Amino acid sequence: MQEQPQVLYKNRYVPGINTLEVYLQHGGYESFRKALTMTPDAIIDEVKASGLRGRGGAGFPTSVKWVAVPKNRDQEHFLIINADEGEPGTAKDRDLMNALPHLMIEGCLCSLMALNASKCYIYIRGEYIEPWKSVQKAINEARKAGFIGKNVLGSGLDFEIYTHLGAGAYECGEESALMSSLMGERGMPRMKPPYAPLPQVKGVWDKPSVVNNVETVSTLVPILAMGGAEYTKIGYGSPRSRGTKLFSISGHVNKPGIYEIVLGTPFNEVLEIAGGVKGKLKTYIPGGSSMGFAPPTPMDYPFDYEGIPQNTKTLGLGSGGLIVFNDTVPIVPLAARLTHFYHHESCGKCTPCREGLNWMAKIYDRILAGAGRESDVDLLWDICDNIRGKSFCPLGEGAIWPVMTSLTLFRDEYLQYIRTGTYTPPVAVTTAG
Amino acid sequence: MSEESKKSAEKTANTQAANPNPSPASTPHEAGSQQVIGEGSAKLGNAPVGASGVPVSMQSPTAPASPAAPGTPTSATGSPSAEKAAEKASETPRDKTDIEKKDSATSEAKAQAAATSGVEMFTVTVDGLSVEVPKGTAVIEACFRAGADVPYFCYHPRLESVGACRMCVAAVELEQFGARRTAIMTTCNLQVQNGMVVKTGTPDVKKAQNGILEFLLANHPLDCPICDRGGECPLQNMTIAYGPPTSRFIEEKRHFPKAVPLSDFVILDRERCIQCMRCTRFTDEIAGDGQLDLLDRGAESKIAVFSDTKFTSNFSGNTIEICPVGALTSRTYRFAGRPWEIKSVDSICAECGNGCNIAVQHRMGEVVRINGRTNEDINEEWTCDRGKFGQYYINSDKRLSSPLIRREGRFVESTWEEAFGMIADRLSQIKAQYGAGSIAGIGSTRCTLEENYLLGRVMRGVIGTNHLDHQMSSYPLLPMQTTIAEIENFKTIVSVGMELQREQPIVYLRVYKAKRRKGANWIEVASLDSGVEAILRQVGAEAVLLLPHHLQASELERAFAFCQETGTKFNLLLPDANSWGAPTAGILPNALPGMRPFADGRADVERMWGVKLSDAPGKAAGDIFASAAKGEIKAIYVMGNDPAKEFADPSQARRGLESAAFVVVQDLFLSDTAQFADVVLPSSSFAEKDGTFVNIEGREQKIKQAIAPRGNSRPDWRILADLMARLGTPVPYFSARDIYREYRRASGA
Ligand SMILES: Cc1cc2nc3c(=O)[nH]c(=O)nc-3n(C[C@H](O)[C@H](O)[C@H](O)COP(=O)(O)O)c2cc1C
Ligand code: SF4
Ligand code: SF4
Ligand code: SF4
Ligand code: FES
Repeated sequence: MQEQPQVLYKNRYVPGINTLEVYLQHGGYESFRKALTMTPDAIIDEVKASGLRGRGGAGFPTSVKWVAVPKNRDQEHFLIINADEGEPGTAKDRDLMNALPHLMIEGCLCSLMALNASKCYIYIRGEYIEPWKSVQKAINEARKAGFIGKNVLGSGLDFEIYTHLGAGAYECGEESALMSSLMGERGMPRMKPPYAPLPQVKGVWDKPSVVNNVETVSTLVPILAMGGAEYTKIGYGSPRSRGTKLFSISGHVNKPGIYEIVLGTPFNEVLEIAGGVKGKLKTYIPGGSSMGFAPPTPMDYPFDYEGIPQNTKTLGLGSGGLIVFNDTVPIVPLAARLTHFYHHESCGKCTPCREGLNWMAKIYDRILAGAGRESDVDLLWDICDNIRGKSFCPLGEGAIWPVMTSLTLFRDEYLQYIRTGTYTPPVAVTTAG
Repeated sequence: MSEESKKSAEKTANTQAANPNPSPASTPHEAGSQQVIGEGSAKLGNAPVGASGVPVSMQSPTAPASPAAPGTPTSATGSPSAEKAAEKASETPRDKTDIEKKDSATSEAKAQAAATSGVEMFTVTVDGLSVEVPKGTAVIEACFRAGADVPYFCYHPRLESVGACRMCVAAVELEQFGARRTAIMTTCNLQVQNGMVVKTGTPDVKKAQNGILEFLLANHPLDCPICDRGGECPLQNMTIAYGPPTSRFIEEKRHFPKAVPLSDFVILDRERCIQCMRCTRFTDEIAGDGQLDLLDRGAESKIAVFSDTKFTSNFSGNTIEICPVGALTSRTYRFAGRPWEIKSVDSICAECGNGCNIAVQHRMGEVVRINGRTNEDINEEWTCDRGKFGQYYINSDKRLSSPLIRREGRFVESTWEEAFGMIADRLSQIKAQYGAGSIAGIGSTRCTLEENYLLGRVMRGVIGTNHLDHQMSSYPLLPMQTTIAEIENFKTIVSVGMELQREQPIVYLRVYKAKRRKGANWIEVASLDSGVEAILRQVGAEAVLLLPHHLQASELERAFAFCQETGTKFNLLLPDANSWGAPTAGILPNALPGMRPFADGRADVERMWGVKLSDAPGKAAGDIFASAAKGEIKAIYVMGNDPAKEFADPSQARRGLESAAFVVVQDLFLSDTAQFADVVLPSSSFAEKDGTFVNIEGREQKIKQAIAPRGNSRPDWRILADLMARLGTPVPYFSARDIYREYRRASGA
């Protein structure tokens, strides 16, 4: 087994770590104190050296995103924290906000320093009342202690952090829809390059804005503490996937939960960390449902940004929401459930996602009701093909991925389900003697 | 998750690479042929200039460059892409709906305006044909320039793009993050890059468009046989050209209410809506009231007004016109006709002085619909609701259908002969007994220039009186100092004492455009005393002042003097369709056609009319009614005006009309004034005649006859011409145009 150094979760289980007092006892806000002595460029250099990639799903190099922002305090610009966490199978940000709110706040402050910005909005998913309370309490404590507000720690710099609760839309986790929603508009995505300027140029209220995931900014705290060069030494796989990442592991494993795992750890070891598979592994979703279903083999590949797509034909690591299914799970109702999720969450702006997912949901319902046709398999595939690359934002794209991968992996099971209306789990063949 | 999109883009790029038709830039042969194509193509910069001053190639961007035309360099290249383009161009072009024709004309006008304003020009190759377009042009518009057909629903040349329908895709080779790549992309929201290569008809593109149409039609009710849009529906047309012949959708369709009244005029069929957001963007970006928006999300999205509100916008009707399906329908046009049974005549709105260009559409002698027509200088393509829904009085049963003569206190129908006989006799008798100065004429700001001119000629030239007026309240005739279109270029716009949206709707749209698109500061104040002077002192020549005619004349003059001092442009906005045409036709007590003073115009007019004009000073309307009340004026001839209701002091007008021995009224209806008449003559509406309206800017525009005069009515000019003959003066006019020519000469032009 590979070693699993804990950098984000180092103090995760320390009692009272969600309070400022205990957090400070464990070296809290030291990274921020360090950041205050550094120039924005120096901080970004550390982040660049660390190889940190966005933990929200796209895995975009954080330093590259930050370089594009004008870093002049006279020109107002914003840091926006994406705490919408809607991707099925993902619950890591919830845990961070509940258990380590000060780590996240410190991460926000370090990122504000890197961007030379003074205002940060935390957009929290509407259903996350507990995490919101936890974060808000931490902000209040940090403000009292002088980490937030005017002239922070005598630096002459002002920092403000605001929380905003969404109204319950998965789409509002997409960064441009998030910005629209934050501005009080409908949570619909906006145009991006090459159609329109980057948010770093024209974001909320037309001002430069950076959207980052909760985990991404939290990771800044250990990076600044140990230095980017040291951080980049963590990792077992690809030179482009460095450090650790939080994985939400759910489904048929013996110990479901949130784990901090070094990127590149072999997949079978990842399963071991979660207590191993309950029963026989049928399929799994490696990084949130939008990434699609993976086949049960191979098992020993490096679980990171490069390893997953290469070995599983899914889209990749995504948000780190690993869902494991054993062979008692019928694929058709599972894909149907996911399709209903995306159909329900489609914002309705663009035709393929709005109409295509509606149609697919109806087809799945018909199949589940026993009125499926064998031609539905190809029809579903073709509908996906007509959505692929044509939807306005990646939600539509993400919605078809579980369907397409399930059709590829389990075509026969689909046909059998349509013919018989049921799924018969394979019987374990016991070889005598 | 941009990773995913990147990946799918790569995938598409790969399919492109595997395509047997490589993109032009990928082989030297192609690159060479591209240059040749460039030479024979539509270039804006150095194109020969046509008679209108517009480069020839812009008048028809495809014509000179069409690879289908034999002998042009393009067809000689023999390169695969050129051949493909030739093939495409030789296909019979799709029959486009009026909506689409309007849109492409607008996008062309936009490109021309940008090109002449010195914007940098980019070369874009569309289906092997290169065109030059201004920087900032949307790719779809470049495709239109190149004569390519790109289907679309949500794109509208006057609205910000949303990229919602995903219909307008093409294979676009563009540069991003320093690398060139080809992908299937929407073209309505993508701006051109120099050297961009676009292919509109690749198999991938066709599949995508086919797929989108299948999606749109899946839940679409397809009740074309009872849908107002049927026959002029972009969704129908696109489906025929790009859609699947049948649907694979066998599920139950989505159901929504089918007749949701959004306002007194607009009814929404939610099942037909394709969520293109043209209507919502119109209310937000153009009308500025944002009264429509989407409700709910995903497949449940529906157009709605906000709770407990109504679609009260004065511009609501425009959304019906730009809706690419039959989702928004008009209460007045609903089920009233089919597009193929309707004839359309270009005309000018008769409701206010803005002078919107409209199409009067009629079926079996009835006006069924009024649509906006493009005029970039005035209404762009919009109208207000008064223009669109307020003119159905034309079809009213209450219209007068034959002349009425008062006998023993009651009106009885008569023939035109009888009526003219009576008018001629009575006027001659009064003139003989009391002199021509005992007769007065009232013209109208709602009748045409020609009609007012003719009233002037009958009064001054045939009867010999100068008592002529058209104003129902007196205001100075100060011309606007800018055009309507120029208003959008001012940094500060101050409007005083009016509800611009209702009183000057099209001026309002320009003002809102200036505010929205160009960041102008629009200041609305109740009166000139609300600090207007202080504001103008600050901004001076960067400002324009908008004033209604209903302020005190002294106030207007004060503002005028003040504007001259500060350099602010002064725009007095007159109310009616022909507020400027009536005075310029000479319906003023002391001015001749062309508003020429007697000293100036008398000789011309006397020569032309073959009479000597009276020297007696003319009376304005107020004096006319006062003199009539005193018994000095015996006869009043009213054309198309209603002083008993509309005069500044209606009771004064009523007293005058009551006292006058003989009153003639020409009108569509039995108006308040007609109640005082001895003879009432039924006149025709603007839809039943030709003529000229002069709008608030002083711009002459022609109205055209759409339908036959209702009942026994006659156009006002025809009535006056007939009366003139009856009074013994030879009538040299067969048409409104003949009168217009005489007016031009009489006004010294
Ligand atoms: C439909 C959709 C939902 C998303 N939801 C989330 C989310 O809940 N949380 C998140 O951090 N990123 C989410 N993303 C990714 C964001 O758009 C964005 O890439 C991310 O917040 C960037 O932060 P990072 O660079 O720190 O990862 C979503 C993307 C899409 C397309
Ligand atoms: S793919 Fe289209 S409909 Fe779906 S969420 Fe994105 S923009 Fe909305
Ligand atoms: S909008 Fe009307 S005419 Fe057009 S396709 Fe739909 S039902 Fe037919
Ligand atoms: S009502 Fe018409 S214009 Fe409005 S969104 Fe629907 S289809 Fe588009
Ligand atoms: S026309 Fe381009 S997306 Fe609708």
